[in-house]
Amino acid sequence: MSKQFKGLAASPGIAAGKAWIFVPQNPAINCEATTDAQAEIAAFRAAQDKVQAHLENLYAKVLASQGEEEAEIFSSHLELLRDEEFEQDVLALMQDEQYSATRAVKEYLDQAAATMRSLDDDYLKERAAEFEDLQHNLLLALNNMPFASLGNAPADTIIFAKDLSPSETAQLNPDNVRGFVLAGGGLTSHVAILARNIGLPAVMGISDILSQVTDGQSILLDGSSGEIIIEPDAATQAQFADKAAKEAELQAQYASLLTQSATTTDGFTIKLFSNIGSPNDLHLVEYNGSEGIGLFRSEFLFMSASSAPNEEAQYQAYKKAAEHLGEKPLILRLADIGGDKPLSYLNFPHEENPFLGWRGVRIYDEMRHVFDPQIRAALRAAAHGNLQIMVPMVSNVEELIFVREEVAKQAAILQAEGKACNPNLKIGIMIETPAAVLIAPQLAKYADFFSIGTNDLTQYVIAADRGNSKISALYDGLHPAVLRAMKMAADAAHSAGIEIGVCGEMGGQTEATPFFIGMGMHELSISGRGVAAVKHRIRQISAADCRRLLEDALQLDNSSQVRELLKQRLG
Amino acid sequence: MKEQQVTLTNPTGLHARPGKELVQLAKGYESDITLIKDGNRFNAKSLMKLLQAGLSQGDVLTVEASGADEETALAAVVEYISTLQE
Repeated sequence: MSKQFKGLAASPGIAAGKAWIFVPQNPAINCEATTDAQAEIAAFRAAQDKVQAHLENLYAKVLASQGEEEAEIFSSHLELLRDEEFEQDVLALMQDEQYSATRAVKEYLDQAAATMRSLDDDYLKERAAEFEDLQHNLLLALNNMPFASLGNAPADTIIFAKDLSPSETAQLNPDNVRGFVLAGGGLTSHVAILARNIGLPAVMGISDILSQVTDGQSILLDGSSGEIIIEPDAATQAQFADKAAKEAELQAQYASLLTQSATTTDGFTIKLFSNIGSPNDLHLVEYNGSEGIGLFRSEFLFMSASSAPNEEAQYQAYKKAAEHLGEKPLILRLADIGGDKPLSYLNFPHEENPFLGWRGVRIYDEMRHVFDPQIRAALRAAAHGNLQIMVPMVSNVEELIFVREEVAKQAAILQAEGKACNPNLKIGIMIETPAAVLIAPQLAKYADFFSIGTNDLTQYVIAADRGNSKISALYDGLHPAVLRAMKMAADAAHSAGIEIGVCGEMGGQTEATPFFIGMGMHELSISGRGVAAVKHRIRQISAADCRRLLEDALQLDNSSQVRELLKQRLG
Repeated sequence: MKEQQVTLTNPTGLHARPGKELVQLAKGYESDITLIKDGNRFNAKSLMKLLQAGLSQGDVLTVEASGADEETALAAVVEYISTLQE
């Protein structure tokens, strides 16, 4: 009987294989008070030696198979294994508290891992796994159990596990593994990162999955949608095989498009950019062959810190990105915080209606310690590349004039301080409020460019909260009202002779592409690895057809009719 | 005893790899070296303690060194933290 599950889509790709359940060994803990502390200490020392040999072996193995960066984690584990404070505290537990070696290791590292998990920083939080990994290895050694090995997985395996530690995945034989399914894990967990790096699909966060599957069952896995099918019927298998073949064919086509331009059949060319969340995502520019960054979210600096990031930290991050891009545009969105993105250290008031509240540009005048350092950092980084700034949540001309004046003021101060900066950097705005659409001609007099934030614009035009599942069906970017709003902004930009682009999620949705071409967008900025799919779409259609499609779509009653028309005209 | 303030600018903070490098650097000196954040003290020669300190980007730390080679130790640790970028 076929069973279907859906989890977090942690790493894309399609795989078929046999389930192989990895259950780590469960080492015993001796909780009795001991009488011979010296024997426990000797056992601990012997376990340290065993784990050291094991870690050195893993280090060498991973260094040879995956490289230095992946191997580094084991040299950190070695450092922890011989840590002076750790040794001292664990020895004290055995000597003074009559703890067994297993109990001392267990409780000490449980505590350390709990401390790590209580940190605010999401990235550091997940490093609790290093302590747990070390703990597990020491406990195995103390119990004379073999170290776990994923290396025993048979061919065509889909690995099922609760979670996997770095020392477990290091044993992996990638030739035998087709994909991962985890009960735990998260999108930034060790396994998710590893899976994406080696190009294997992974689905995570299905908490009861281990009780639903048995070894050897046939499995289909779609890491792009998060779907898992256990014991699929023949029809589903055929469907997946078809999907996998299409996917492979499409990937091959996409690869061939990398250096091609996004030009329609009648010669209209549009620029395709990437959206990034931090300098760690800069490799997406090369991966996608992007012609710029249309949305560099600066919030990452604010979200991951425990206090507002200072000018220098921001400058370094922006400079790194600007230098990476060279002459290509890098559009930095000023901090879009507040509202639904409050920060513990900034004392945002509780709001009844955060999406209509104190957020984006509206906070800058009061939050000088956030705004001023960011403007200064952006001005300085703009001396190292084509950095432009984009103001979020604009609904009035005054807000844009305010930012312009502040930028000029800070540029003058920087110059007086003798610091290099680019006072002429371009300043554009997000078009995401209905007010900005309706006064787009006025805003265009003060803005160097527009960029449509489709997520917020859609929810504000339809007055439908995108996070509310009761009304999620109402939230639809192909609603004729949303299409008309975007066209109004585009028309205003064209009349004023400024550039207009799209940086919301719709920029990467191929069903929306023809409408954007019809509006004459200069640029679409796309998340993740989605550029090739959009480029592929653009190269199949003509701008003239897109313009007619858009004109006719605007006259329709609803988004279903819009989709129907799209299908009829362009397939 | 010598001390100096320094800001951590590395976007991913002080996690396993840079933490290990910092500890190995600190262990090369005879002096006791301590990182202080919000009044809490962490032994710079213990990766176990440094990781639990949860040092994130933008944190302002005081580095304290005390011992025969305190001056060079302090300079080296401050230099490492202030220039860490990955």
